[in-house]
Amino acid sequence: MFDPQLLFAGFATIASLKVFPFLVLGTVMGIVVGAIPGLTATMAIALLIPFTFAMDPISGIVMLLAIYAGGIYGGGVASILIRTPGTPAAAATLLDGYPMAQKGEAGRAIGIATISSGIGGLFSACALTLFAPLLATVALSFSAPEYFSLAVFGLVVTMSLSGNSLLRGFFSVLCGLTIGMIGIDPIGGFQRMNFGFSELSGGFNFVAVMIGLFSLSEAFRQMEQMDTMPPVPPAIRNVLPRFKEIAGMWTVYVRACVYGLIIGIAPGVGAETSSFLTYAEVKRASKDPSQFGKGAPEGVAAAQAAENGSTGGDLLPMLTLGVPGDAATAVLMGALTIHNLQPGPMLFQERPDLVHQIFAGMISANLMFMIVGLLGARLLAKVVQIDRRILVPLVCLLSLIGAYAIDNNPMDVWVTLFFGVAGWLMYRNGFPVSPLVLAVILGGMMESNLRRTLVMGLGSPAIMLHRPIALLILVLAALSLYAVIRRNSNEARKRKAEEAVTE
Amino acid sequence: MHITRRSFVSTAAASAGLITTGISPLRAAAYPERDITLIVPWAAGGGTDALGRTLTKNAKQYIGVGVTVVNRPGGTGVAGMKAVATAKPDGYTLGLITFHLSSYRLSGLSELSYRDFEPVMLLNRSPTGFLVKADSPFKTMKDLVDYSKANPQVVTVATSGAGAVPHLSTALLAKQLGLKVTFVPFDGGAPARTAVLGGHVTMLVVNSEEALQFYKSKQLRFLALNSDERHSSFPDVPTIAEAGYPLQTLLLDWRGIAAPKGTPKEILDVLTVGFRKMAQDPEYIRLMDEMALPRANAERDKFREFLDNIEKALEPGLAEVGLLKKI
Amino acid sequence: MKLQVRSGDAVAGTLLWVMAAVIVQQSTTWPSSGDVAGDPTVFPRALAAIMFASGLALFVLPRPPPAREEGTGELRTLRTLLLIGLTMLMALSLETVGLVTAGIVYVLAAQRLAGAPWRKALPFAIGAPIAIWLVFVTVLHVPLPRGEIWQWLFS
Repeated sequence: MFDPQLLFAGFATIASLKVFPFLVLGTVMGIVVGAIPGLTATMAIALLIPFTFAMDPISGIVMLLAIYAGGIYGGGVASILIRTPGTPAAAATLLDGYPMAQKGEAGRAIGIATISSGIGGLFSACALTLFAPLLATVALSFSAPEYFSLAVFGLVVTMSLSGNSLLRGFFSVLCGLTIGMIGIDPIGGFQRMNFGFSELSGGFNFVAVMIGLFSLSEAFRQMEQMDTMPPVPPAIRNVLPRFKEIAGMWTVYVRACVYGLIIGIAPGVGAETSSFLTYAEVKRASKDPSQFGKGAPEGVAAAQAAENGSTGGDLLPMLTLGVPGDAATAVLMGALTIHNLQPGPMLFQERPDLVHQIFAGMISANLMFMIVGLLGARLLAKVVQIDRRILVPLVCLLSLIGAYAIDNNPMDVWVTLFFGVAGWLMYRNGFPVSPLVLAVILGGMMESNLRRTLVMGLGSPAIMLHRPIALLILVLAALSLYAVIRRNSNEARKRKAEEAVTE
Repeated sequence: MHITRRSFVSTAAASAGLITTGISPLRAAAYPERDITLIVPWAAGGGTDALGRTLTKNAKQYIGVGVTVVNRPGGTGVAGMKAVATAKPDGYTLGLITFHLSSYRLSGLSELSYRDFEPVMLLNRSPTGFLVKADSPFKTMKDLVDYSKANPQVVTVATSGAGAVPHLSTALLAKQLGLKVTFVPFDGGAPARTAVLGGHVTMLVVNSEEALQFYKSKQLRFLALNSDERHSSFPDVPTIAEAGYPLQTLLLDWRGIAAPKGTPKEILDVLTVGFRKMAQDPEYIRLMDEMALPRANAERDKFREFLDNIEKALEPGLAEVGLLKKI
Repeated sequence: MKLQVRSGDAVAGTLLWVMAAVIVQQSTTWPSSGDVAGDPTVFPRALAAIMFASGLALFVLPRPPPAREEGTGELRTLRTLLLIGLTMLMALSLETVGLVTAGIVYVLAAQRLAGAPWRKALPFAIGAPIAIWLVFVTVLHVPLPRGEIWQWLFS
């Protein structure tokens, strides 16, 4: 259904004076809002929908697409600068981005993040443009068994984020799975584990949990070590990464783009899953995984490229099947609806011009945030220079407000505080928090789809044998598990040998 | 209902206001003097949100002030609806209430029910659609019913979620006809639809509007509509009675506007007139038609009566699927 | 680098046991009808069993000590505990006194706790909550708490 002529016309529309200013405006707003913790790309789109009422549909939609792409990218900036993910998807970026900034490489980290987001975003936008109908059939072939396998794969890969003890990582996974069980039973529809609180009937607010674990806990930790922590050295390098540096990470980008696209296409699984999974997978496959978490540029590149790499994939099932790829595209779908455009197969038949304008808009939005991001990076990088004694309390306040603003719910402030304390205690005792966060996302996906698979198979697990994709993913999961365990036991042996030498 | 700190504070504040100023006709006539907040208990971007935003888009023109939509999702709608029920009943906080309100008390989730609100206006009632994939061998409702009678449990039915209207409607139908089908609950109508489109599940039961696009593109085929009248968006689809299976109870999904309990009648009158006008806005009507949502216009007491009936119809449905846990 | 069972690991192990017990106890109250896959309790209980085993392993198997990245000096844990207390006060008063008031007091107190001089702390403590208010409430219409006390006093 791809039509070069219509795409060209689409670019012409985007470049026209009627649309272009809104592309720029949307990009800037997206980055700013994405970078503010608590204002996610999803919320930004939702909040700005009323402003698009007065515009003509394509200007409004291009603006929202720009906010979407820019917001997903902008989340990484806050991750790098203050270790608070600006959007949930950006949590994986902080694992290496923040250590880089603390080493005085904030500018470089933002530069790499920007270029990487752009590479991932452009790849997926182009894939969407060229292969939308084909990819839609891929999305349709995914159902409960495949999602279950994907979740298992994700949890296995997560284990490589465990730090120096697999068992401690597994503890975090188990906590995450338990937290994920609170709320509605995904198949039976009854309430479970809410202990009588109707506030918990939909489960914990995921964003509040995450802000607590990553951001507030870090503030608590820094408070404890404030006097002895070395000050952040001033930025030493230019923001624009060298071409050689980017080209040297091509294997990272290949992985990020492929994972991002596939996870994006799978309806209901979005950028937060793809960025974490890709990060963990790149770390696992890396020659020197010990550098990850200490400021490895590859880590930032993997997380950011996969994050934006899933945007095109997320749009795809929304546009072709009317089933949103993640929360942000769900809101975009609402925006299209309000503008009287119903996403779904009829949109392609009735308004091919508009569909191609959306494609063109998505490609332009990715180019635009790269330009704006690189221009602004130098300025933003100064944030890390602010005195810690001033910055840490501000980060606390932003975390609390961010948690509150997601659902306008006062209880989420307490949720964030609880998980902030929990994250701080976990850090002190060597328990990693990222596996917990990922397990909250993937646990529900694993359980509901396992049970859905069994129901679809009329109670028998034999249905899995007829699902080649699901089986393939499960085999990959088993191989990854073997690799993770082997690496861990090798490291333990090495440690023992070192000890023997010192003794 | 027990008094929470918040509701206590707001009632105290409200009664203080009553004592000192009193609500004189003059004061009520001045309503509304500032923007009204409409709490939507579901996330931005969903169908309910789109409905609320389009409805109130041109509010200024009809009621004199703007209406700000505030999303307050969480707790399967309880959080937002509770926030409405416990808000100051001064007409400046309203809520877009949805079907879930009918089920909270019956499923044991919360004591919240329509009794905690002043219903203003019913916006839509959606019937459940029974659908199959276009290449399915089942051409009519009768084909499917006969097949599942002969092969109990073999027909898989994708629903938008356990306890939602389509699930309960189908469970009631199955009970009435003595069928046994296997329900596959999904997290919303769209994933359920995708599973049927992908050929993973045999039958789809969702609110009929969820199938509009795929009905038009002929990728899904309606077998029947769980309604007492035909639907203007699906003119060739028979009702369940026309398909040969008249139903004893009719369950419908609904959405409506409500104010907190105790809102003065003068204010409710202003609101009713205002929302009546908003519901006649051509842009809103076009959206409703595009989304295949049958518009309803039961106001105040008629709306309350409708809610009462739905609650009564819901009880046997929930009992059938084992989710009845009355408070 | 000494392998040993640390107290943190033991606490984590206990926590796993407690969570496992809660899951098993809760699962006895769940209805089971309407699910041909059988019991909704199977998956959670299997998880509980794994948790029990992992908890045991945390008690028994020695682990390497947690890696600490920076901050070799002494930990001033009391300060963090005070910050947590302050944050609780903030959360308690947020609805009543509103974001701006609670935010100013909270940030100022936390900055003083961290050791920032008044001269540096004051502008940020006052500026940040107001800036947040302007962005969230004024521009984007996110309804942050205004403070019931002000509404009550001035209405």
